[in-house]
Amino acid sequence: MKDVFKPEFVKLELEATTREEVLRELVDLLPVGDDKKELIYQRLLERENLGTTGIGKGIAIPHSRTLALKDVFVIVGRSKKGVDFNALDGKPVHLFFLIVAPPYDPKNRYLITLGKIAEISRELTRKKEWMEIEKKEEFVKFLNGLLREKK
Amino acid sequence: MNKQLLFLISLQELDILIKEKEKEEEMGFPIKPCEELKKAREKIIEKIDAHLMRRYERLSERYGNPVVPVVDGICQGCYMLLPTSLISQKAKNERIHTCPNCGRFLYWVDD
Repeated sequence: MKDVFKPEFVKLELEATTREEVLRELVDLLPVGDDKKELIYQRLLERENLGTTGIGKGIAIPHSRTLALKDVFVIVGRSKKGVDFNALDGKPVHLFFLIVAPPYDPKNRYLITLGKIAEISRELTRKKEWMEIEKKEEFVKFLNGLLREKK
Repeated sequence: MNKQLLFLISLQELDILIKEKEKEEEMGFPIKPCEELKKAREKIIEKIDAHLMRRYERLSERYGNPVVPVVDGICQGCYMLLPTSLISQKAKNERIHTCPNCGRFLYWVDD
């Protein structure tokens, strides 16, 4: 399996201060046009309104399937200040994993990736060193390493 | 984009979420109860023209995915190459198009 996390899809210093801004900032990293970004943003917002993806302890995994994409994308964002994302424990979120995918992906990579990220997130709530990593490449190496341990 | 097409896309995306609800909950994501998802579904349906909705339901029962993307001129539902007369049109997402072979609603990802 190829690396799930890639440096070009990571933003270590999110500027957003609200849930909506976080979603927009993360979606902005997707390699698609503005009209598709808007569709994806709206879909993610609708998904959040049906149940928060802020799983608590500083982590959120906003996700959705969308017809606007041909492939599965994983975007990672970090906010040292933290953002109110309506998380289950009410605490600010510092680490965001955005997962978006087409409605039908033959190998079911979307649900598999979502499951794996949900799994490593539990570990990330214990290991907080990701808050201190300053280089995207190191950050990605750290996350991909955690995923490999779970195989 | 055509508003009716947008509503059809939203409806299908919600239908997929309803199908995958259980799996997501197993992963630890809380989702509103089925009744509320159904209410959200009804709200979208209210905005869709009746004849399009009848077609959506028929296609949904038959195939499971009534709205499909078109990639490289190929319907991603039945994998038939679409006619040139359709592929060559401009601003295709501004109108409702259906696959002449399987009848699914079409959406151009690259349009």
